[in-house]
Amino acid sequence: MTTSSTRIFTWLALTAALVWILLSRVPATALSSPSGVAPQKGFAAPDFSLETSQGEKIELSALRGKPLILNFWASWCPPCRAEMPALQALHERYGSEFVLLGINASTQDSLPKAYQLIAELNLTFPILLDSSGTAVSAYRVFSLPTTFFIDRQGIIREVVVGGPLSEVSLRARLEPLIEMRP
Amino acid sequence: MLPILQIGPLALRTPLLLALLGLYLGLSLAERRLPRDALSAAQLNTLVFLGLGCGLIAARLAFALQHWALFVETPLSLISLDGGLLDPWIGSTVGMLAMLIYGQQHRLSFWTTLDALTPLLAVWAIFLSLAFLASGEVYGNPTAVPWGVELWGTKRHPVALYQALAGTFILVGLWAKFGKGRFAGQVFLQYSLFTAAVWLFVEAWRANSPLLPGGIRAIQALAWLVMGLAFWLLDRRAKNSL
Repeated sequence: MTTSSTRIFTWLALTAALVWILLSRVPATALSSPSGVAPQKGFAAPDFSLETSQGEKIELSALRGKPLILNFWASWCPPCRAEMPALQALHERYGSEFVLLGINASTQDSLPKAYQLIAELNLTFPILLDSSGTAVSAYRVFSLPTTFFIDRQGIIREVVVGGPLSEVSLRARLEPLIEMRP
Repeated sequence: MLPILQIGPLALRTPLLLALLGLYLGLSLAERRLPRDALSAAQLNTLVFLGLGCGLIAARLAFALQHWALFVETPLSLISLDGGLLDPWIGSTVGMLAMLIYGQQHRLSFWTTLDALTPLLAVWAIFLSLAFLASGEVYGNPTAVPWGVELWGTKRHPVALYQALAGTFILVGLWAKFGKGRFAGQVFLQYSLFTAAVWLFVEAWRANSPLLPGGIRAIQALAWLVMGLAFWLLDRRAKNSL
């Protein structure tokens, strides 16, 4: 190609690219509307209603307005067990500034062993028993532990598959959610 | 989407595995296709691992400085394996600076070194796209096309797969040129140009693009700048080589 034809091609390519950028802009209506409900970063957290180990019924949507951590676990899972003290420390440190829910994947666990672990580690945050697998299925939990960080508006901000998460890891993810005022 | 690969009791993070596999394969290819008068295979390895090492350390330190109160309480968290405790932007910048300094200290030719790194970049980019596919971090708009993938109850464009496929075409297209550019920097600049063009095109179907004001997709804007710069440098370097 000659210099002038190369130059023409360059400008044509850059102009076409610019037009494509403008054509594929995200419309303002899409910017303001939520992406829908899915167990994924940027989506609204799927709702569920489960009973705690104390028999109290908790509905996720009723907790909107506070940052939320959902931690799916089972007693046979070593990383789940390893991160429980960090979760308990978080619960004690931040108290009512956020809601922490441990969700026992009860369809894959033995309840006596789950209760034994709760007692052994002196866990005082609410533990929900997912005995029908509703929450595990709604959140597509394939691996334990899986932790969801959800903001005040009920939007999932981060999903961490695997563990154990340290207290620093948890705090580094929770504090921005607490600081995000409604 | 396959964030975790469960092999018996072992749960492996698929995205991390793919990223490491891409690094290994890319580096192996780069070693075999080194340009003439370029750095040695040993220097290439040192350069890459120095960049990665410095980048990782800087990314962790930068993150720790931004959250210093947390790390002062538990300093051992500095060596935590949690990939979330990193500042990727500072890490990448410091990693590249470290490579630049190493190159200058060992009098490596800037453009020839970039050409030598191109096979690694080309292979790695494919595997990183696959890693994004596995983690579900890059996903497309809802679609009715037959090749759409079912994600969270909706059929979506497999954007990360488009990127991986396009990256494979670029790799195959440039294969014969690896180590044999007409002038120093040609292979790297052509790779940058094609990759930027592909990303600019494919990004239009992505559902979770980072956005600039006015709904402009940030990756597209960046890709457009890379395209412009690559065109300009290719023209300039081709003229200088005559």
